[in-house]
Amino acid sequence: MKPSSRWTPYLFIAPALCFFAFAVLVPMIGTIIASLFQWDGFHEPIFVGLRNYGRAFQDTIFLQSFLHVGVYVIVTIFLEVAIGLILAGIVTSRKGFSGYRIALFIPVLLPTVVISVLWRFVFNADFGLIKGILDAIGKPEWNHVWLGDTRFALLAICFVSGWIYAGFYLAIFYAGLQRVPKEITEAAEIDGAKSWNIFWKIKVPMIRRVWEVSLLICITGGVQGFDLFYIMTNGGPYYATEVPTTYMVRSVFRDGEVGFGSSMAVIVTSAVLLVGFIYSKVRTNRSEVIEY
Amino acid sequence: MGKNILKKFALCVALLFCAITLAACGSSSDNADKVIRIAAGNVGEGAQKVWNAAIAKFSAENPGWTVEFNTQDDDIYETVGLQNLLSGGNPPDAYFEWAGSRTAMHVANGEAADITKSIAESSLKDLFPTTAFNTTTIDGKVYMLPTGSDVTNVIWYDTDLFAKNGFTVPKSWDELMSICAKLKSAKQTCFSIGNKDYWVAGNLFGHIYSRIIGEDLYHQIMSREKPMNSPELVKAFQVVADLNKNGYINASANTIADQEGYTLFFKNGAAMLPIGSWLVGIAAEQAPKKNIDWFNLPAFTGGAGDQNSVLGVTTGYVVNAKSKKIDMTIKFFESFFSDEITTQWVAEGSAPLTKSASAGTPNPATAKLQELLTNASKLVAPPDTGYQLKVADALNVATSEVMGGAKTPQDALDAAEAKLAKK
Amino acid sequence: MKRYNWLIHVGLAIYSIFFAAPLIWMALSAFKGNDEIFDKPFSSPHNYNLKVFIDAWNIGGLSKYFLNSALITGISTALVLISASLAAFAFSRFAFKGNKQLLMVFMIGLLLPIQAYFISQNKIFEYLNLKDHRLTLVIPYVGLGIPLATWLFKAYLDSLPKELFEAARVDGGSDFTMYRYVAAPLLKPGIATVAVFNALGTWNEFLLAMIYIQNESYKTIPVGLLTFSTRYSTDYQMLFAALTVITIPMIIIYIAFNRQIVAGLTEGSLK
Repeated sequence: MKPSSRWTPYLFIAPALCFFAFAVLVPMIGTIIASLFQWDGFHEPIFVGLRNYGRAFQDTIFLQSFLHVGVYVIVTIFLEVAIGLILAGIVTSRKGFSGYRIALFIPVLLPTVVISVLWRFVFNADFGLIKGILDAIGKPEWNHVWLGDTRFALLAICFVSGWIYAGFYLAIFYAGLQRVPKEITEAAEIDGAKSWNIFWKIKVPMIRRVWEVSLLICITGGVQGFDLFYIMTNGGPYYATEVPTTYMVRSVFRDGEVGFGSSMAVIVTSAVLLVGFIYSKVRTNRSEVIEY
Repeated sequence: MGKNILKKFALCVALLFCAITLAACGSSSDNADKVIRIAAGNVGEGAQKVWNAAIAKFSAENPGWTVEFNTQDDDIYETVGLQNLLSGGNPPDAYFEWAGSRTAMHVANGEAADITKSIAESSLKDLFPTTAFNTTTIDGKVYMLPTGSDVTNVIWYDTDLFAKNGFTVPKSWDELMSICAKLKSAKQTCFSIGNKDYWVAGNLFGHIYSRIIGEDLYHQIMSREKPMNSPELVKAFQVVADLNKNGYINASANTIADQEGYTLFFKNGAAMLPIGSWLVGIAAEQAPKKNIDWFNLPAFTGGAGDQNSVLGVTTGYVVNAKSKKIDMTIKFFESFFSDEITTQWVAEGSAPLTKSASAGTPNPATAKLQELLTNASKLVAPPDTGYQLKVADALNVATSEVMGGAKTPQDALDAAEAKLAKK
Repeated sequence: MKRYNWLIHVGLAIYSIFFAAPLIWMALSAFKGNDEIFDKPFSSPHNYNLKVFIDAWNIGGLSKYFLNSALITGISTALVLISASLAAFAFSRFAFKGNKQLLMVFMIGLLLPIQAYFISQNKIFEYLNLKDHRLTLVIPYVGLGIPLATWLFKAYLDSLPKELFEAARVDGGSDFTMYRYVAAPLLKPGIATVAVFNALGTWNEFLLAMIYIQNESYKTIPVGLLTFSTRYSTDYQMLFAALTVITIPMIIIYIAFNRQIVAGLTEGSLK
């Protein structure tokens, strides 16, 4: 449709564009520029070219943080997306389970601070809930410093993340499953197929778009993970739970390495954009089965 | 019709942005108002009450004026919090700091006001003894109003537990170790340390290092005149490694924060707690029934340093050189340091440096600590308040790694040196 | 199949209880003294005294944080709704030069992680003296919310028949009246979705709030709670009381508007 004046469309877009440009685009360019300098944020920046990138790729902590966030993403795919899917299947198979769906969604609404403080207490090895339970059932030797043991800390955080977001994916899959046309499932039932099979062989493939998007959200969201890691362990113990964002925050705000932090930011952003790009390419190349 | 739209839009967009900028500008015009802004880290509940009293006194004596006391998480304050406030929309008129290199940094940044004259021209000169400003004077100019000298680390212990086991206050580190060995065989934890933010163990072991390698070498290493992995320091780190090997420290040391460490001690989870003089006020509130006392770090046989040294630092408030209300800020501090308020500080358990404080009847534990400080033959600066944060961090991280058994002394210090050498 | 009904009910119930246990425990612990929380974590509280909740609210200044969060969330959501709907309308209904390209620019924002810009954004705000004001967070939050909002609104508008708009044009409507009287009302379901997404995101946002706001009176709930939790880090009774006070209204609002909230979120992801 043709606008009434040449300028109208641009005027319509202007407010959004201004906010977006000022808040996101300009800083994004700023980050790329900053990554080429060595700067503490207060004094004069020194141009160093690509040296920060070289440093980043050789920084063991930075590389390990990718490993950690990778573990986090994989574990949470299971704890959040897979469990969410299974729960959705159970909840949709019968009537009257909506209450559970509502209850399980509650952790998603809470500020991470609440959750972190609560679970820190649960995991506290000196006087926390888990220790209390283990003492009560007579197995005190099973107690460990959960958040202080390099073997368990990352998994503990993944577990908490799963506790929060399983309900989120449950809600998403639930809505997706609701849209599967009843005729198909009823036809299968008449043919004698069991619920379990109906679920996995019919429903799940039909909501492919939903779990594709869910996977994407889980992966991109996971890579950006910060809140839980910062409040519960702040990268500890001994960087066992360090993820790219916490390391970046520490480099810039505590160590005063704005340039170095920016170079890491560029690397992480490129990785995320790459994932998104690959994802959309894979999707468009695949032929859609049944779209509803 | 097109022109109409244009006008409407330009108006809407302009209004939108005006609203935002006005709101932003609105807050910064607050500078003209009658509010003194003071920033600090976590002062504790007892201290907060005394602050409220001081503010009320100031407002009563200077109608129309009030004080906004902004406290933050200690760790955030020390790293980005204070910096953010100073460079933000409403920078504080005065802020909490530790004397030493941190204050020197503020002077260099033009954020610390030279208050020598202001003090001389106000009642402050009578409220303080002349020696009070020794540690807060740089190049002959006073930059900080001291509120206390903290003994940054002593060993607190459960007196009842000691009595029950027939322990006496150890005179040497070896004696202390044998006490620990006995505690360990009775299945008790010796030390409770809450080292999540690295400074609790950092302070304790910083003091230990200075005792073993000597204060001069400690100062040289922390000032980067000698490398982190100097062989003497590596050898001194063995003390940390041994503590870990023998299991004398709580397993959760690197995971729990300082206050959780106190709680563990109060709940009889450990026999001793290495922490500073500020525990007095906290213990009075959290564990009034527990009988505790303290002893300074015992002597290290063959140590190169002064074996009676005390780890301490002066803390106080720096006036922001860029503040437009310096005179009123000084007036506030006149109320703050007045005899009336000083009495409340003493009651709370602090040890102010004003004249009336020493005349009053302070908490015995606090009095003893102040005595320790004033009679110290040697004062050692803690890593993170006496030296550059980067260097302190490197040392403290190395300490935590060896304390938790994650690295050997040599590896930990090599890594620390590598990290510092890069910059 | 009906036989299994109660079995699955029981299973789900146990699972849900395990799920909700930490929260319920937290709320109950707020009624117990600190000593009890440590020594007898699983005992039931003796008296259900509401005083500690009132104390937490007053001493901790929770009302301040609530107000700030509400203010910021309200304003940024409103701004997102207005600017994104305007932009989406243009992208969807107008043919103009650069339509596709500008849209791409916005769509980058969908994937762009926060790392890409928060460091630089921080410095820019510092120079412009924008940090630590009451409304500072509105700017980044609006910038963050616009891409998704624009995309959602555009999807809604695309699905509308163009005859609607042609008819309005024939009736002599200007572009703006078309937007105001035709598009905007039809966007109502979309508005709910976007509002919910935005509100949830900004209400719980932590990283930017921590970096930009240090002034106690401007803090939002996430950062305010963190400050609170470090001040009272071992006064667990007070801590849990404060956390409960923050949590309960959220749960109540959620249950009341349950259908809208979940529908909004899922519609968004499905699109």
